[in-house]
Amino acid sequence: MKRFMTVILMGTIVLASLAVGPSVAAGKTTITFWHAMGAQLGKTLEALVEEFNRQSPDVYVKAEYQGNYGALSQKIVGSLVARKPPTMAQVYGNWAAEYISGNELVPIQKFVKGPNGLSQLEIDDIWDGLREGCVFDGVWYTMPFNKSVYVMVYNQTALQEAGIDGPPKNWQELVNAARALTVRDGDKIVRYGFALRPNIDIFACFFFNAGGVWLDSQGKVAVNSPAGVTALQFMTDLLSKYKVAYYVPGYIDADFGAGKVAMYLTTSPGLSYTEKSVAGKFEWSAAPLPYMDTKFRSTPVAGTDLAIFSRASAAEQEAAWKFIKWLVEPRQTARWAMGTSYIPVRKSAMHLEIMRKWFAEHPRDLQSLQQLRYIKYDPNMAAWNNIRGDVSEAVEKVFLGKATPKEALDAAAAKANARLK
Amino acid sequence: MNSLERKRYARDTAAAYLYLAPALIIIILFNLFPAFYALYISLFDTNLIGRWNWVGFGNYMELFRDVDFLKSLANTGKYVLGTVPVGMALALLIAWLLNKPIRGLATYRTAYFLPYVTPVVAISIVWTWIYKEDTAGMLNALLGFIGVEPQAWLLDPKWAMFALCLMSIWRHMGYNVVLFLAGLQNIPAEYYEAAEIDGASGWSMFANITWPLLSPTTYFILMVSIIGSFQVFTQVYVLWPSAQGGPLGTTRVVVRYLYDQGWGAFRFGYASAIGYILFAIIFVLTLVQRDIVGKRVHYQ
Repeated sequence: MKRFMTVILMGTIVLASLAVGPSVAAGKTTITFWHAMGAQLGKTLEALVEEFNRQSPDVYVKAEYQGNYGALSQKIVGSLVARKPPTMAQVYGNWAAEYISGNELVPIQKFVKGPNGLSQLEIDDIWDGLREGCVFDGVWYTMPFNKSVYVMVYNQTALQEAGIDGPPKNWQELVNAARALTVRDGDKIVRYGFALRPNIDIFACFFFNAGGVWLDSQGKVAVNSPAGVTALQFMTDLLSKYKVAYYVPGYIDADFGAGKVAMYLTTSPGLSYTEKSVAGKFEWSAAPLPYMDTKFRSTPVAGTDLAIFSRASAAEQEAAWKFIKWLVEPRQTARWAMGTSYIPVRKSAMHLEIMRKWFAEHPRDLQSLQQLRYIKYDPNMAAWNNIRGDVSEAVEKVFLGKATPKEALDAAAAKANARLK
Repeated sequence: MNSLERKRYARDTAAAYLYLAPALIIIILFNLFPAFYALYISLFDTNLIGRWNWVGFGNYMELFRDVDFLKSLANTGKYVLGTVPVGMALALLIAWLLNKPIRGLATYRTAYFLPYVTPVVAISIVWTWIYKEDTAGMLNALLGFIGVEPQAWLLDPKWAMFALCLMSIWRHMGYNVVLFLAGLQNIPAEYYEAAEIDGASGWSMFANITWPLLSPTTYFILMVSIIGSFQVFTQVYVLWPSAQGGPLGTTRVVVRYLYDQGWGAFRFGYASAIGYILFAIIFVLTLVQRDIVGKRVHYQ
């Protein structure tokens, strides 16, 4: 028995030493990269990391999957409190704002403008809206990475059957199309033309396209602006006046696939779920978000950016920058976009041969990219998480008929602005 | 004590602490220290990273003005009232039935206890299917047979809290049943035999023998159920993943709000204050129960 235990113990020690073996790549600076990319996204990321490690003479990246975003956030906070953060990680804008409050991030600006930096041409090549979303108090802190925009998904077969040429471009066309696509059987609705979820992101898709901005010139939350009221009124009309929209608090792709909903809004990576739900039952595609007026054309952006932590040694920071710089080169960002349906962060990636070929085969993915010039992002402020809740609450209240758009948005703005102090 | 005894006493004490050490260290490190540390950070406006602003009782003062928090308190109150009395009554009824000599007793007992040993997350995911809003949902399909229109159990503000209570009652049933069953079996059969000879009816036997002699068990279950219900979190988190917690926030309970203020909004001081308010509420309620209910408990 004793002998048996000894063997087990010895075996464990040998195995443990093997486990740390490959990470200490000879002569290379090893950096850790915490991310939340599972499944297909994770595979694409791992392939990129592997390629980087193969070709880099002096950097070895250890990419570590931490689970979903919630788990990633909790582990990063834990690691910061324990003063042992990774070298770099995927972070949301509002997380970064918290880390910056403790000087835990190195501004990416330091490397961009450094000896191994980016030329002005390369900087301008990153979509402006994405780059601006990474600036905190005038300092460029993080690098946009896995970003997505909202698009409108539509049932092409149903559209053709209803005699509509193409997807609706503006709100008027949206109402008309949604009416034409709604199928009634007596007083029962068999198919809804459109679907709406009661949250701030879907509201933003209309709010921005009515010319709304989250913060006014004094930095106050301005959801109750005329644009906000107009947007929410329009959404509510689709639901209860025209009765052409389906109210869905959860995901819509299953209802779309089942033919119960003919059009809805989703993020670009959401298209892969749509594909699965539809499973070839009908033709479908995606289009830019409908706008109230051409001059207001826009789309909300979602997703995380890459941050380098300041506790890492200078050599590790430099190594992390080399990896980030490589990752957002046009060729890599194109590969990332093709593998995940996130958007390529570089404008020039669109002109690459591989990307053009990809678009020829995947015309839907092109639709999200047509909106990249019109990106709008959430304010990078600590209170934003709670303010998101306030606005979502207002939207839900109005959809459920508990308040008018003006009442609900006034209340949300008052609540939100109390949080800004 | 002579010196030899003293020596032995010291050695025994040292040995005792050595044996206690593994458990003690874990409890101090992972229970006691965090509890006191949470009290400390509840006095700060902090994200635990860079922001550490002393606010004294500021977080506590803010809580009393925070409509979202007050609503979460009300929701928790509804949940406690919705689960504890009904859950206990049902458990007692089932325990009473299971205390009879019926065929396949062991199977029934296992069946009732099974939900309790299944992880809450797994249960909650299964219940999202049961509660699905269209006719694909199991509950709607069942009710459809008796002509009830399909309801959006999880998405309708009218039903969300009901759905949460129903699932939680089901989940905790087994635990309460086992305790009641043990309590029932502790009551000596002679009492019933004597009562029968005196010609007591079933109801008066229950009221005069079962209920008083079962009271230590009832008291214990009441206490544990109330404390557990105030701390409900996991099923809420799985059934309604959004931070608003259920339609119109109807199922955002205190711990769900605490979690969101901490991990969502990075307000760890505020979240800790919520934790301490919850602790205070449970503590006071437990004392009140001890004074009011505890006095009526009949120990044999």
